[in-house]
Amino acid sequence: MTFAHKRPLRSFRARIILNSALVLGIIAPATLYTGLATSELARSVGVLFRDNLVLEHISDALDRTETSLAGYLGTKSSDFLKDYIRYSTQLGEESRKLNREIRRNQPLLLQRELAGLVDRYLEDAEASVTAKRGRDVATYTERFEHSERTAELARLLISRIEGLSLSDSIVAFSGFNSRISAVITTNSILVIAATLLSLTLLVRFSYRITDPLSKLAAAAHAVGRGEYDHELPLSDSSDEVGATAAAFMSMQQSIRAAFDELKSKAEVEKRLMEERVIVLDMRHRLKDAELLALQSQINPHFLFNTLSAGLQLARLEKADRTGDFLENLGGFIRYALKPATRSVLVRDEIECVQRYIWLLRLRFGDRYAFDMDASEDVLGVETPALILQPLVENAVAHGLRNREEGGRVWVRARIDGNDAVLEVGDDGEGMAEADIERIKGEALRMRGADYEAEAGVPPPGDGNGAEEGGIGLINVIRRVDLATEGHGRVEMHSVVGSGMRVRVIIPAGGVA
Amino acid sequence: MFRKAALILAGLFALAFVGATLLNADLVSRSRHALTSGLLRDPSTYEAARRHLVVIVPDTDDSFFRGLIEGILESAKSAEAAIQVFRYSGANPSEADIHFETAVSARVDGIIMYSTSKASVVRRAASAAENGVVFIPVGTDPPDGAVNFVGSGSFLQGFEGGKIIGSQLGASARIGAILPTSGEGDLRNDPLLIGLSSGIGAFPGARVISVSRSKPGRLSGEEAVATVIRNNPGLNALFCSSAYDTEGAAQVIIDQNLVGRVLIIGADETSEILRFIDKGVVAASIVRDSRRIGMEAVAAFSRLKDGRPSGPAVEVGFTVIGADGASQ
Repeated sequence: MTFAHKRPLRSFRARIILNSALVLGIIAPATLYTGLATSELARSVGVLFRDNLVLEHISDALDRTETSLAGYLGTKSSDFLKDYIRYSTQLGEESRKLNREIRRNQPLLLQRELAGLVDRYLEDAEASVTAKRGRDVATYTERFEHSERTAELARLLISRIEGLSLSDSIVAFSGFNSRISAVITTNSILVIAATLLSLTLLVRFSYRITDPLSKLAAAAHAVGRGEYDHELPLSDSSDEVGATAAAFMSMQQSIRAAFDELKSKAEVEKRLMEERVIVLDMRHRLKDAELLALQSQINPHFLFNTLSAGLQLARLEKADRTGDFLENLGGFIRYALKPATRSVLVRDEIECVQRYIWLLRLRFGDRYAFDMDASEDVLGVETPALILQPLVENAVAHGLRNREEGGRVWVRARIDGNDAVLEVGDDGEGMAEADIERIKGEALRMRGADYEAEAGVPPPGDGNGAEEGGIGLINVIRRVDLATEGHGRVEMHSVVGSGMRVRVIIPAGGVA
Repeated sequence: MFRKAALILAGLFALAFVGATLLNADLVSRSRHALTSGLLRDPSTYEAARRHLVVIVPDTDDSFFRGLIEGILESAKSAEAAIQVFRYSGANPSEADIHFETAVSARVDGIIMYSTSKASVVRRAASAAENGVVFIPVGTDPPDGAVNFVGSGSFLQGFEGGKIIGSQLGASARIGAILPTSGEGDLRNDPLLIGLSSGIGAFPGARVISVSRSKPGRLSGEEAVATVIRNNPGLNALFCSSAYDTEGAAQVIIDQNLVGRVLIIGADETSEILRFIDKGVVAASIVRDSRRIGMEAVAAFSRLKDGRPSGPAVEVGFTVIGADGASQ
């Protein structure tokens, strides 16, 4: 609406009004001129007829007066007298319609003369009637003759006036008619031209109105089909169609935004649904795990009892080495089968590693050298369980396994500031930097799956560190992160061919 | 393309429209003017006058009467008179009586009438006086006893013509006289002929050998002159009393190759007569001052309407126009 106020002539309403006004403005003067001219003509004819009518009435009244006067003078009949009085009165009244003023105009002077003649006639007629009543024969005869002569002159004058009037009228009307004919011809051409122009304008306006509307309708159909991105040709016109197109484009944008919003919501709902499916799946897995746990709780008791029985048997038979083996194996299994999410002291971890190393020495003999160094102050620090053992296992299984000459593995624990630093290193084959980064990335990705740990679900690959490269490391990293709530960290340093060193740094104040 | 064509069309139409509108306005304006200045004109817009004066003259465009009407109209303004002109056919002089009677019966203020007949002048004067209408006869010769007459005496005109002919032809002058249509009675008593005869009296031997009266109509003079020349082989001078007769005589003289052999003394002043004088076909023309006659007639009318006494007949002089110019 604003544009209509700024540029009112551009709106269709203004154009239609302007067009109509133009056509009317053309045709109206043409009609007006013709009408005016015709009106003048009609008025002229009216004036002509009016004057002629007066003359006709005078002539008629003169005849009737003359007849009744002659009748009265001849018969002295009261009927003739009445007629005479009536017609002479009428004649006098009609003659008063004639010009009686002296004006410098021939027809008016003729009228004045006619009026004078009528007056004279009436005087003579009246005098003759009076003389008749007085029985003055000579006088009424003389005045009657005078009146007769005057009446004759009056008739001649009437004829002359009518002839003159007719002559003047013919001259005036012939000139008038020729001009009016030219006016009518001109106006006819004008009206035809106006009609052609109007048609041209109408065609143009129709085209200008319907073309954008057709485009608008096509766009509406496209939007109806769901093509919300259908481009409407830009209209720079500030008329109603321009405004409608702008409103349509605005509506199109609103629909597109609403549609995008709906789409986004649908995606969120879909993702929620998928997540719900995952949760359900996890719950199933949890139940399976619970069942498995129940089974594994049964088997360890049987295993421990069996190992204890084996230990006692070995002691009784004096088989000390076997007894030591069963003792270390049982201790290690007991430690390892306890929940992995628990916190233990570094001392326990060191002890577990020592049992594990004892078992490895039993298996590999002196092929691998193990060196352990733990300061006293770090032994009482809390740490997630099974942190060091998987690292030692990794060092042997991946770092030293392919080295025929064997190798060395060292375990160190110490306090560094507010942190406890637990370090496992080897002089084996080491790990490529790309693999280290992959492990870090994997650990980071799995950080989002912490709910599993919170839900008591074992992390993927837990306990299977040897199955695939880095699984044990990833497990350690994730559990350190979970146990220290992000305050702890695992650092890896490796030189391919020279060995690897994994350092676990946890707050000395303990884990959560 | 369409827009440009539409603009050109609109421009052309605008021009045509403006032109047609102006043409319309002009045509309608002229048409309205033609009607409103005539039939549709309000009577009160015509100039008012104090007196109604009727002029009755023959229906001819003879320069004498043109001058007469002009003189009357010129003086009408100062006399506060509205002039109504009645013309009657020269072939039907009774029309003059009808006009006169109409004017008298209508009791107009005055009548100026071209009059030649002594009897009719007296009768009309009496009738007008009886009805309180001022009657001013105008013409050539005042009738006996006529009052308020304004004109130029035929006798003097004839006398002047005789003098000119006599001075040029002397005793050998053989003159043919064409008397005016409006004259009446015996030709020998016509004052114009008497004057002509008196004029040549100073040249013994000079004679008027033919006298005729022209008939009404523009060509009658030509016919009369042709007849005079045919019937009078010794004729060497023609005396004409009107412009028509003069022009007719000149035409006959040219046609019959008599230029230089027949002296023409004409009457009045028209462009044709002046041309003939220039070429030497007409020797001289005795011009009656009809304009002054008209003015004097209106003056006489005003004087009588104002209650002043009647005056003697007013004689207006002549002007003689020759190849060497005009002289009184």
